[in-house]
Amino acid sequence: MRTPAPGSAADAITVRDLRKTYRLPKGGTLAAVDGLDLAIGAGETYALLGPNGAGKSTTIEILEGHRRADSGDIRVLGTPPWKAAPAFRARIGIVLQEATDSGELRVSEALGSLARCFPAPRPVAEVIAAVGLDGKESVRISTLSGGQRRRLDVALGIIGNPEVLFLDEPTTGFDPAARRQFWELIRSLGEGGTTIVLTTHYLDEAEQLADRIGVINQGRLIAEGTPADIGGPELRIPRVRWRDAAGHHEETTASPAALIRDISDGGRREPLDLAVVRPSLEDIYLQLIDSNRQEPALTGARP
Amino acid sequence: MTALSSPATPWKPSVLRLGLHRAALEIKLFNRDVLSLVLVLFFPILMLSLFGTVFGDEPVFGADPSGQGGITPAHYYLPGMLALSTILSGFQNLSSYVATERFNGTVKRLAGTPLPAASYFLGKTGQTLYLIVAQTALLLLAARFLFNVPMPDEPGQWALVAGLMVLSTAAWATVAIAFTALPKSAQSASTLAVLPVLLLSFTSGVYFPFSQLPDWLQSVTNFFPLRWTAGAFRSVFLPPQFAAAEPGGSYGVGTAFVVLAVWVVAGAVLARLAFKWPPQK
Repeated sequence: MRTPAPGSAADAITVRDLRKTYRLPKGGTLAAVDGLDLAIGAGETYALLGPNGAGKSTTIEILEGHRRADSGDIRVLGTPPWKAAPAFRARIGIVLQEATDSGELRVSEALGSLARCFPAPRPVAEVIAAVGLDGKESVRISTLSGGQRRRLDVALGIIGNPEVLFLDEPTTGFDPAARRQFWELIRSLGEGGTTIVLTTHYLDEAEQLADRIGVINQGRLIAEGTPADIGGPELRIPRVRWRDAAGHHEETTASPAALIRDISDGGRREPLDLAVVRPSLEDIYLQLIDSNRQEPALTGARP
Repeated sequence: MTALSSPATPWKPSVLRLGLHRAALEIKLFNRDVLSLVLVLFFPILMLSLFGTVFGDEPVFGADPSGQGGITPAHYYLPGMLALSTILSGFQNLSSYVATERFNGTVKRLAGTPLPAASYFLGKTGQTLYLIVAQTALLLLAARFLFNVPMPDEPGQWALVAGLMVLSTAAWATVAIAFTALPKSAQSASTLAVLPVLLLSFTSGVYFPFSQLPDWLQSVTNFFPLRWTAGAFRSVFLPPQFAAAEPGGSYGVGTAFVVLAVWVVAGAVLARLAFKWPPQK
C-alpha cells in the first residue's frame, strides 16, 4: 500500500498529455481524452472514476495497447503499449469490459489455452481456486452465471501472472455478495504486488480497493488523491443537522463541536435528530463533476 | 548488432507451436458445433445423397440418343460437390467464425496476450485444412462405396485434385478474412456469408451444367474461382466426351490455376488491409 511520488522511477505507468479524438458520424469530432496526465506507481491499485463518456475506457484501452493514442507519451512498464512486442504483453493482464467469447470451451480449457501464450503462467488450478471457480473446471463457459463468467474473465486476465492488471468495470451487474468476494480477490492480487488499474462506476468499490483515485471528466483528470483526501479539505467540511422548535437546520462548518456546543447551550439542551455528517466519497465525487461542468475554467485543475 | 544493445534476448513466443495449439483447439471447437457440422462438413455429402436419391442411379446423364455413354447422377454431381466444399470450408465457415470472434471479444482478448497474429491464422488454417480434407475424403468415400462412382487411377489426377482443393480453399480463405471487415454484427456476418455461396453455387456449374447459363451470366461468373474449380474437377472425374459440354469444349484447367492464384494473392492483400490486430473500432 505505498504511494510513490508521481514520475518516480517506481512508476509502472506514466502518461503525459494523452490525446485521443474520435470522428463522429456526422463529420464532427469528439475529444475523448484531452490532455491527460497520469502516474501510477508499481504495486499501486489505482481507480479511474468518471461519468459515462468521460474517457475512462478510452484511456484504459490505450494503456492496454488496444487503442492507438493520437498523441502523448504513454509508458506502461517503460514501454509504449501500442503494437508492443509479445514480451511486453506477457507482463500485463487485461480484463475486458464485457466478453462473451469462448462459450463452447470448458473453463480449464480456456485457461490452459491462454496460459500457453505466456512464458511464466500461473498454474490453472491455482487461478481457478483464486477466483473461486473450484468445481467448475470442466463446465462449458456458456453455462456459467454472470458473476462466474466475470470471475473467469479475471482468471483469464491473471493467468499470465501479470505485473500490471487492467480491469474495465469489473463488477458491473454483480450482486452485493459477489462484489465483496470479488473485492477480496482484487485485494489479494494487490497485496501480492500486482499493479492494478481499474475503472468503475461504484464509489464504494473505489473506496474499498484503491490506494489512489483519479477522477476523469471530459477527457481530463480533474481530481486525484487517496480515497481519504481526494477533492481537498474544502469538499470534506462536515455538515451539522438538527431539529428544534423552528424546524430543520443544516450548517456546514469546519468546527462542528463548537457549533454543537452553541446550539445545545453547552450541552444543557439536547437538539433533536442531531447528526454530524461527513461527505461521502460519492458526495465529493458528485461535487467534483458538478463544479467541473459549471466552471469550465476549472477544467484540468489539479487539487 | 542489435543483440549487443539489449542485455538479454527478449522472450518471444513460438509462432508455430502456438499455431499448432490453436489449430487443435479450433478443430475441437468445430467438432462441438453441431450446426457447423451439418451445414458445412456434411453438407456436400448430404447434397450428393439427395441428387443420387432424387435422380436415381441409372446412367442417364449425358447419354447419347441410343442411351449409351451416360453416367449416374451421383457421378455427374461429384465434381460440383467437391468444388462446393471449397467455398463452404474456405469462405462460409471461416468468415462466420472470424466475424463472430471479432464481435464476441475473442480477437480482442487474444490480441491482448503475447499470442502472435500469425499463430491465430495458423489455427484458422489448421481448422480449414481439417475441414477440407475431411470433407473431400468423406465425399470421395461416399461416392465410391455408396454410389459406385468410378475413381481416377492416375497419380497425376489425384495430385491435380489435391492441388485444386488446397488452392481453391486458400483463395476463399483469404477472401473470407477480408470479408469479415464488412458486417456490422456477428449475426449479419453469418447471414451475409451465405449470400455469395448461394449465388455462386447456382451460377458456377455446381448444380446445373455451366454451359446452360446465358452468356452474360457466364461472363460474370468467370471472374470467380468456383466456376473454374468445378470445371477442373469435372476434367478429373467425368468421362472425356463430357468436355464437349464445356464452354469452348475445354475444362480450362490451366485458366483455373491462373484465376485461383490471382484470387489467393488479391485476397491475401485485402485480408492484410482489412484485418486489424489488435482490432480497432
